[in-house]
Amino acid sequence: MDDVLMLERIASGDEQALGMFYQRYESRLFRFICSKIADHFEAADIVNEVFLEVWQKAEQFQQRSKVSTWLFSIAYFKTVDRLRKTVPDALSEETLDKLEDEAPGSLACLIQAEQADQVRHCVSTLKPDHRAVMELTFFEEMSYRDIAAIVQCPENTVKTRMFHAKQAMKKCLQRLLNRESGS
Amino acid sequence: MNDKLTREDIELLMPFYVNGTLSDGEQQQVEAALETDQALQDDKDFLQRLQAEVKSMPDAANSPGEFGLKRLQNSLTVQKKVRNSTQKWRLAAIAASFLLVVQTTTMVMLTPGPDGYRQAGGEQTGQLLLVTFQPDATEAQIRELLLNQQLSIVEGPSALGIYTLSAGSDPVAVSSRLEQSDIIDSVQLNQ
Repeated sequence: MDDVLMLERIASGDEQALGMFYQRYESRLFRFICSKIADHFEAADIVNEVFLEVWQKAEQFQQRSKVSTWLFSIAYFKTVDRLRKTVPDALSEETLDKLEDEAPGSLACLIQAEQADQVRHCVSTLKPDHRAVMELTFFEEMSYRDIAAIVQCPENTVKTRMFHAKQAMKKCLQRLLNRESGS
Repeated sequence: MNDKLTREDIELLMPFYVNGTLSDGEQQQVEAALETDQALQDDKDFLQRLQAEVKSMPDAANSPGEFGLKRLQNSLTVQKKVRNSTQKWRLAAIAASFLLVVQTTTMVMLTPGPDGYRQAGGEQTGQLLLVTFQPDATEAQIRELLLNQQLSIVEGPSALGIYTLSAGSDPVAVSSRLEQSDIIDSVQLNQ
């Protein structure tokens, strides 16, 4: 069953369709939300809220975008809203700058030789906005147009966020490589 | 057809070339640039490796999974109960309002007029008397006459001193008796 048909069934009050829709998207949504929010319990709360909103607003979906774009938009909005309520300064550039290169996990990273671990560490140090865009680009394989619709910003902002994410990853991985070769 | 993209534009589009979501026009321009620019080629290789690593990264934590689904279903159940409860209260409020309207209407229809007297209209029309008293009649005399003749005041006195009296079962006989009273100035049957 495709996404649109599933949403139509959800809109008509079919709880089984909602269950199927949940199983299709919940882990992807959770992963995306975790790219912006560190607390996994909060992320699980948001996943629940997103699917409740799907249940309530499925009939309002007008097929102007892909279902996944619509769904991730809801998740993004709820995540940002949660961040604003719980950590008022979470979105300030100053806070984000501190997160990028000086995350607490940096020291632990020195003893990890595996590339996958290094990549994971460096991803964890990205600014939340950059990380979210990278997640949507590389994991969800979305276009910059869809991502712009989800994170509600201009398309060029998506491209520059992805560019900065790439640069930050290069810088972080290079630093790890230098430390390894120096030890 | 896309406008000619600058090298900077190409670099910004590279992640989306790697994930395969560019339009045909954009893709062609990126591929043309890749053929002549080694730095862009290196950039593309880095992004491809990065995507492969990101895609193979396990989730930082287990997603809510089946527990999350149960939670969602419970949330729906709670929502339904709240909605049903709200609807019941709404219906109860409507019913109560309707009952109030009926009750008020009934009370208005059944309640006697001011001061406990019935209105002059309706079934009592043929048993009413219009009476004026002598100017020097006292309240005690009027009260005694009304009690003796089993009359009650329905309306009055008017500006002209006319009282409307309820005359009981035989208004003609009562009218005759009243005419003989010293304190009565005039009596008239109100047919």
